[in-house]
Amino acid sequence: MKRILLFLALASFMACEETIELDLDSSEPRLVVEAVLNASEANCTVSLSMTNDFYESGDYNRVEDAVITLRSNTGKSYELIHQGQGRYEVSDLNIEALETYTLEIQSPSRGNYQAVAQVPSKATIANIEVEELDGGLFGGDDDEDGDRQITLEWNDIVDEDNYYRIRIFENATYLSDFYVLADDRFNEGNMLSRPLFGEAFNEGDELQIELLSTNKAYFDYFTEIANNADTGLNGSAAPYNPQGNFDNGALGYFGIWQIDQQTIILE
Amino acid sequence: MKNRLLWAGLFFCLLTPSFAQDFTVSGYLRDVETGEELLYAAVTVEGTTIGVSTNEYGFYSLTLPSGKYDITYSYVGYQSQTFSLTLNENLRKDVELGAGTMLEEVVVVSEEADQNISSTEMSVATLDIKDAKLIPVLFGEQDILKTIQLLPGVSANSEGSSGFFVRGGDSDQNLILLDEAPVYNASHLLGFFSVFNSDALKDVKLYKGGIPAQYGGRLSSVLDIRMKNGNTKNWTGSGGLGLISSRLTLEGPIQNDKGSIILSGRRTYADLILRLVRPDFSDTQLYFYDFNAKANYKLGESDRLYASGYFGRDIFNLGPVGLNWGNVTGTLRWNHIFNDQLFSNVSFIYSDFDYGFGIDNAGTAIDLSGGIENYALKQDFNWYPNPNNSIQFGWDATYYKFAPGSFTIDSDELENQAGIEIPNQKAIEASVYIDNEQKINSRLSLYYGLRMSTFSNIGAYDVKTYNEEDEVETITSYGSGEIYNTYFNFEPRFSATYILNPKSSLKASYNRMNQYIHLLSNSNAGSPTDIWVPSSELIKPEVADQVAVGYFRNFNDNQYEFSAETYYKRLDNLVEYEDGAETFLNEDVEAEIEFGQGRAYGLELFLKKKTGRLTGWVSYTLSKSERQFDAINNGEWFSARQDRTHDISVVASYQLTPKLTLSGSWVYFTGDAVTFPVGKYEIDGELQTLYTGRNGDRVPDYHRLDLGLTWVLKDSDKWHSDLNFSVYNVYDRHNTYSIDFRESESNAGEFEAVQTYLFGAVPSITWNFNFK
Repeated sequence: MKRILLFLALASFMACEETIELDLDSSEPRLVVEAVLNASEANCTVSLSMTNDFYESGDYNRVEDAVITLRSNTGKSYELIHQGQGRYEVSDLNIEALETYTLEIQSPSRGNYQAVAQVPSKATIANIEVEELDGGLFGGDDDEDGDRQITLEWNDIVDEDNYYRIRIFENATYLSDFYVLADDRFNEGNMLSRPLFGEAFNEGDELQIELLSTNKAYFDYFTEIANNADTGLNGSAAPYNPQGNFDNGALGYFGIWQIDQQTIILE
Repeated sequence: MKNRLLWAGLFFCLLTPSFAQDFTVSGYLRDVETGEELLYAAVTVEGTTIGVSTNEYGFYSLTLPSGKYDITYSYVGYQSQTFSLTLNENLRKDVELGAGTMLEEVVVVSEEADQNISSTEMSVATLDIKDAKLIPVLFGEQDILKTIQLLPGVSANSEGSSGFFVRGGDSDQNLILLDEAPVYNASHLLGFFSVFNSDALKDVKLYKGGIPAQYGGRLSSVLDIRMKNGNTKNWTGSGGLGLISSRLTLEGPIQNDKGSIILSGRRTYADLILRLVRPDFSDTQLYFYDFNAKANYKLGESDRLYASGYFGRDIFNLGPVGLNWGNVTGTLRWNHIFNDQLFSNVSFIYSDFDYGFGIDNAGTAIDLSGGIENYALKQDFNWYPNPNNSIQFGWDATYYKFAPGSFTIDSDELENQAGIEIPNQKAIEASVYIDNEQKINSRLSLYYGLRMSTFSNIGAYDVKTYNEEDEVETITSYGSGEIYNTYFNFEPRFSATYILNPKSSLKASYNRMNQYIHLLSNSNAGSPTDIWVPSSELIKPEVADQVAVGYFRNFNDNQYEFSAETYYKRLDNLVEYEDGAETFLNEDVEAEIEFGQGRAYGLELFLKKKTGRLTGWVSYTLSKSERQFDAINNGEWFSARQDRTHDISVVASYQLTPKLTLSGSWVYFTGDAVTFPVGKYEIDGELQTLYTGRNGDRVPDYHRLDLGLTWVLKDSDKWHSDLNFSVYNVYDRHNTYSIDFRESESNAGEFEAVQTYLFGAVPSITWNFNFK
């Protein structure tokens, strides 16, 4: 919606952009956690880093002294192993449907944090529809606009609240700024479909399309991330830091997902 | 206690004994050429300080002991007239004034202070529509909302926007009335134009403080706009051709002076131009239109009926995407003169705002709509018992229907249509008020009034309560028509004027306001999909208390008007979305609202030159506006976005020759308070911004110069035409519209700040005409 309004504003007037230099304050570094329990592949990876100043260049400081433990409400417990560069992993987990997991991070230098998430049910891709575009507003015939329109369809899981994210690898490159998030709020138990707007797909592209069934906190967190990326008109609402499910002021999220993926080549 | 005092005071003033027999002179004040009533014009008794103003319908009533009087009728921009009257019976005296030409000095006959000095009104601005037409504007589209932004204490929402802030208040705290009907979204085309077509308007009055008891429902200001009644003498027309729009107005008498009618329309054609520039936008529709109509009819000497309406709509169609929104207002009025001293008006009012958004693409149709609608009935009485007291009282009742939004999706794949409809809410707002403008002696005048307002939510509705996680805790269902929550509030209003000498006065005022409906907005620019919500058990009515004091002074035979005012305003129960609130079609939007308070204070200086070849004004505002919400900025006070420390406007027009008028305006204000990032991090391969605090930073200061030239091509009794050339933003200042932070294309992993500005220098030309 906001994008459309912005588009209208820009189409109707000749708005211009220019880069400006701002005098910005610096800040206390804060912990950033990206934690994913991939229930379909029975592994969990966590990466820990610290924030940088806005105009600071160079790498982020990694947190390498943490002890990270994953505990289920059914009494299971796993410790993650540091792989270097602030990246921790554990695999061969025994995950069962609807279990709740608590992730605990204890870092002597950066403090203690924890988050809770529940294992979601898995939805599977029903159909990937590919349409040829013939110009017009949302497409064109050049590579930049894309000449294929993709729509993903899947069956919602009946009788529960479900949350989804769609991710795409285009010719083996992860499209990290492409956010498609869906829930079944308007359409409980029905066939769900999402047109994959916003990226240019062309004949010959190899697409790996992932349907993630996620816990609510992961969905909420990425919805906020996506909204922040979509700043829209006049900076939209007051900006803020998306708040995930970690306590103690940590940025980031602990997500549990089930994954279903298909690879197609656009013809 | 407060009440009792007020009533006692009121009775005291009415019982003031008069020994001689009193008679009343009453009637209407009108323009000699068009027959339009002149509002708020002065009727004064020569050699005394006794006087009265005409009311909103041009009616006046003056009761005096029997005797001979010279009575002067005067109105800004018109030649004053004085009549000798022998008052030994009640008299009906309708007076017509002629406009003074621009170059002639208006002869000031009377010795007593001018109206701006002596009236009990302060913090009030009256716009002369004719003056406003000379001010250069964006695309040559005359706009009263842009003009009032040039006054002290009033500033624009954002670049080119017709939205405005008054004295540090929020943009939903302005009550905008068109012929008494509230206008819920006064903007076209994302705010670049207001819905008010100047050709159809007669009078515009803005109350920033000292708001009279007859108005209520918003915290910060009242903008009372009155449409023309239509020429009662001849059929006339006026219009214009501009770069992006055209307008036409026709007006004339019906049934031999029994009444008159006016029809006025405007349509933009930005899409036609867009299509010329960009042929690939051939299926694009992008326009808005306005239509104003009004008719009035005299039933006799004492009764007159009015019907007025406004219809406006914005239409955007871009391929499969369509968006439209608009307002409809209607007002039916009955003026009745009970006797020489008592005037009454009854109005039935309708107002509606709605939006619709649709996509029809690849076999899937999505529809989204919402809005607000109201019906109101009100009655106002003006009672003029004696020259020292003008009493006004009345009541009103408004029925609201809020439609926060409904969404449907219909797809080839779906067996049934799916969707969601946020339940409608209904409410009644009602109030009674009484006030008196009382002259204590030749120096001191008081205004005091009281408004009592109530607001009730009406079923059918399911009221929910929420826990700390914003989850529904309890649901209570109420049946259709059941009143389930009521607020009741007193709103005292007061002001005092002390005349130091005929050229200067001191004034003070206090007002309390309550606001029962709230606009929830997730964007700063104002979007048609922002939703109005009623007060409820959870959302308390917003409250404002404002005090103001001012010094008023006229110079040089009233050629110059000067005022200095300071104010302090306290705001309570303000509403704001919490961070990351789900605002789109959320049934439980109440759970995502934070409540807080605000304070605003400032100094406003205003110097106006009213007559001569050079006219215009300079205004300067020094102010602060802050907010405090427990859940924002760690509960500490922070600057409101519209906290513009310095705000300067200079407006001038100079008549070079009788055919050429040069005009210009320059504005400067401190950049908006915003939140800039202090750090960065990465999530899922994407750079993110890190923030602390709220609104601790400033965008660059705003300033802009506009120039215009009006060239009269022909000016005869039958036909007048002129050409208006204007340039918006003459020195091409790149004023910040928004600042985005995005990953640098040259340095991956690093941010850069990108500013968007909407307009460089924009020239335009408009051809205007009128005929008789």
